[in-house]
Order: sequence, then structure tokens, then C-alpha cells
Amino acid sequence: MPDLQDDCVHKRKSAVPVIDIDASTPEEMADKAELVGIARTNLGALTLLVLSILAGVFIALGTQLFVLVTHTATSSYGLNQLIGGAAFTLAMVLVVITGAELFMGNPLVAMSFLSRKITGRAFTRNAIIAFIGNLTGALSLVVWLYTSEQWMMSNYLLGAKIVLLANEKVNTSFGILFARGMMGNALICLGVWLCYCGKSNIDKILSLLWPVSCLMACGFEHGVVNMWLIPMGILLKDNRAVLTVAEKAHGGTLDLSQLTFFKGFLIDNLCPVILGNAIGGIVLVAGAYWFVYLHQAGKGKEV
Amino acid sequence: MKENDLSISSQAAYTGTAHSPLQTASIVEYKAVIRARLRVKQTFILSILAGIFVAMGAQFATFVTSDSALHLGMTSLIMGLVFSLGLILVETAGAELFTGNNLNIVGYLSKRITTRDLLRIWMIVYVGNFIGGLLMVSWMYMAHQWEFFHYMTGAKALLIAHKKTTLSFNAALARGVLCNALVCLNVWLCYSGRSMADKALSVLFPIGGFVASGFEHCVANMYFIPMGIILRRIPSVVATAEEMAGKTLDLSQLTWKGFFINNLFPVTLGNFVGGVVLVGVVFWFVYLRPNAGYSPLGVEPDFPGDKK
Repeated sequence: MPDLQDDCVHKRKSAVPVIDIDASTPEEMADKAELVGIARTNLGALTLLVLSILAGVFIALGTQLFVLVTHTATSSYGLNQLIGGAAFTLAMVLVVITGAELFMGNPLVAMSFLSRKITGRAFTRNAIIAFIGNLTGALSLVVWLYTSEQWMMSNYLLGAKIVLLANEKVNTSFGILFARGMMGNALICLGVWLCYCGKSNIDKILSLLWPVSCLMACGFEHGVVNMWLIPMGILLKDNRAVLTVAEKAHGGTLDLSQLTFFKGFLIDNLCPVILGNAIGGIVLVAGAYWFVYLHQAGKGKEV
Repeated sequence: MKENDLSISSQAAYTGTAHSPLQTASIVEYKAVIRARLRVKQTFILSILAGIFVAMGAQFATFVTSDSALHLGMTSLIMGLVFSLGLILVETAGAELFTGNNLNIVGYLSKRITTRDLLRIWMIVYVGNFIGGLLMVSWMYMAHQWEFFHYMTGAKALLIAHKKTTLSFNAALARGVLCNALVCLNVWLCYSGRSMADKALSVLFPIGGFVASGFEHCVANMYFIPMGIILRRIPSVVATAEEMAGKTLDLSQLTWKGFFINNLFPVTLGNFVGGVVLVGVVFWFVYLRPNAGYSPLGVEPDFPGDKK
């Protein structure tokens, strides 16, 4: 997401950039935020939709990698989750550097909305297109990965782990999912915020590594991650071999009655998670920085 | 200097700021022109090098994971990270890989190169990559590295090749698509970075990811499977492989015929779809299509052999 707007940012400044590889300060960032928001909402609907589909695909690729890396772990779960989370960073690296549009993933757009630089309507339009695109992208990866028969890995254990994870996600209560979703998207938005502070790609990759691996390793929820994981679980739960292995790994019979597309996925899981994501992104990150650096800017005492 | 002068090139010279996605798209477009300008001999040698580099990464990954006692997921991830060697060499030392060259479609769609150029590059590069892969097979065979760890290195190579030749057509196709989507995205990330650190680190995630996920790369398979076909004739390697797998192996598909029909054809097709359609055409549509709403940047990056 960052840098798509660099061209328009430079256009505003009169001088050619000087020798400057320092990271931006938060104040500079907040100034830039408004321009980014405007550029982002001025994108055509079709362009935005394609960029959102890409983001859905990238997050799904990262999620499958996370599950794959952790699926055979039999001890040191914390460490395995950490390494899986680091592998998941792939997804956000791709999103940020190629400029894809992740649902609620750009705190700068929310900041320019809070500063009234873009209308609520433009902000909502972006969010809705991003949601549809992300869902489309993630579901298309469900099809590709199902066809690739990758879930047969380690004698169906990979597929079984996907079913177990998905089942756990649809059987979690509203409050828990909401809180996890809030922290999940706060971490994503912080990662993206750090990316805007950095300049080179290595800055960006390293600033994503910590927040994003924390998100996955600690089991926080992100709507777009679930858009791949739960539909994949729904698709795999009808497979006899996967189910046998899943029950063996679970150590008893599984109740998969909640694992359905509309009731389980969209209502029980996605609603609270998306709500948490929105609050985490807009209030915790964008709102806080907007308040400190833009709303209260220049109101401090002269020192 | 005029107020509105974007001065992309001077910015490039003085700052470490990565290229914006729009600039990166222009670079990808321009890179196709540079490739079209190369003489056939140049392209051919560069593509043999690419075949060798990728095979180098492949053998390194085989070797490192051959006697791993870690669990499978972790071993796969380490295999992917080690395999990145091949792509780091390709992206930084300069070599022409078939999968990355699928992005030439961007230059073609912008009408910067002709259909003839496009097809010529793809054909030469594919043949060159194949020769590079086979050269590495012969060297690696002569190096007797497959004897290491009581033949476990050879056995691991055999098991990898065996698994690749027993995939169904659809699975090989889908794995090819996903693989080259990631490889082309890796190329994209490399073009957007400026320093060596940018490039090396951006290779690790997508390439590590695709290898760990078990996706299929046609050029890597030009090393993996011929190596397996040769090692199959050595009884001690086969015995160790059966011991590692814990069952007798049906190696009847591990032949040149099995290689071409079960693996190389669907995987190449998948790679082509993943690279050309899912990355090249999509990014061209987003950033470079005539009425995309961006002003053309006309980025002319500093690639070697580009002084005209």
C-alpha cells in the first residue's frame, strides 16, 4: 500500500528529493496520510477491485504457508507458531510492496477520513470494494489449493489441521473473536504504519516481520485470513480420509455441525472479527495517531 | 528544474526509497524491451546460467534437508529458505529464467516488444534453462554428493523426484500456477527494491513460501527429476530411499516419459498461466493499461547493457 502515492506527494513538494535515507518521523507520516487517503480513494472501482482480489490471494497464500509450517508440530508449539507467523509475513510483504488493497488494512486512509479530507461515502466505498475483492481472492485460492491436492500432505494431516482450525474459529464466542479481531487488525495497521515510515524494501519487510508474526503466532483473528481458512475447512470436512485423521488428531469424535458457510463462517465468525478489525484499525491505530499528530497538531505549548 | 518534474531518475540516484508499485510496473515493462534487445547468444548463455543457478539452489535444498529430524512443516520451510539461493543468484547476478521471463507479457501488452520477440525469448530461455539443469545433473552425479550421509542425500533426491512424477495432472497444473504466481511476485519485489539487501530479503519470502508449500517450478524440476531418474539405477540409493519412506517404492513413473507427461507438461502450462495471466496481465491491467488514470512515468532504469 505505501508508495503508490509517492508520485503525487513529490509533485506537491517543490524541490527534488535530497540525499535522504532517514526514516520519516511520525509527524511527517501524518502529513502524508491525507494525501495517501485521497489518492487511494480516487482509484477507479475496477482497479480497486483487482487490487483487493490480489490482497485476498496474498493473505490466503500466507495463511496456507502458516498452516503448512505448523501442521506437523508435536512439541514447542510457541516456537512453531512463531516460525509459522514469520512465514506468514510473506502475505503482508506482498500486499505492501505491490500496493494491494487489504480490507481495513490501511490506517492512512482512515486518518484522512478522520481529517475530513475524504468523505464517509468514499471511505465506505473503499471498504466495501476491498471486502468483496478480498473474499473473491481468498475463495479463488480455496479452489486452486483444493485442486493442487496439497491438503493430502503428511497423509492428510494438513487437511485435518485446516478442518480443526476452521472448526475452532466458528465455535468461538462473539466477545473473544471481537477482542482477537481488534488486536489482529491493530497489529496489521501498525505494521503498515511502520512501512510508511520506512523507505527501502528492507525497512518495510523488517517492520512487517514483528507485528505480523505476532498476529499469527498469538492466534489473533483477521477477517481475510479466515476468508481462506474457514471455506477451505468447509470444503475439506466432507472428505472421509481428512475427517478420520482429524478425529485422530483431535482425540475423539468431532462436532462439525457449526462449520457451514452462511451460519458458521459469515455470521458466527466473520461478523465479530470484521467488527473487531474495523475498531482495531480505525480507533486504536488511525484514531490515536490522527488525534495526536493531526487533530492536536500545533496546539502544544511553545518550548 | 520545473515544479512538476517528477525526477524519478535523480530520486533513484540519491535515495534508498523503494520504487512505488507504479514505477515498478514501468520497470517490468521496460525490462522486456531490454531482453528483446539482447542478442540470441547473450540470452542463451544467460538462460543456461539461470538453469544452473536454480539447480544449485535445488541441490542445496535437497542436501540440507536430507537427514532432517525436524518435523515436516519446519523441514519444508528450511528447504524453501535454502532454495532461495538459486533465485537470489538469478535476480542479482543476472540470468534469464523462463518463469520470470513470463513477465515480458507486460512489455508486449504495452506494445513495447513484438510477438516475435516475445516468443523468441521464451523459446530460447526455456531450452537454455533445460540445458543448464541437465548440466548440473551431470556434474552433481559425477560429484558423488549423493553418497553423503550413507546415501541419504541421494535417497532424498530420489524421493523428491518420485513424488513429483506421481502427481495427477490437475494437481501438477494447480501447483504450477501457484508457484509461478509467487515467482513472478518475487521478481516484482526485486525490481521494486534498490539495494542488495532489499533484493535478497525479498526473495526469501515468496521463494521460501512456494518451495515449502510444495508448489511446482518447471525449471527446478528440470534438475530434480532427471537427477532422480539417474539415481534410480543405483541400488544402494533406492534401498536407503525405501528405508526412509518406510515402504517399497513403485518407481515405474520415474522415467523420461513420466517426467515429460506427468510433470513437465502440466507444470509448464501452470507456470505459464500463473506468471502470464495471474501476475503479468493483472498488474498490467491495474497499473499500465492505457486508461488506468495514471500519468506515464517513462522510467528508464539502469540495467546493464542498456546504454543506447
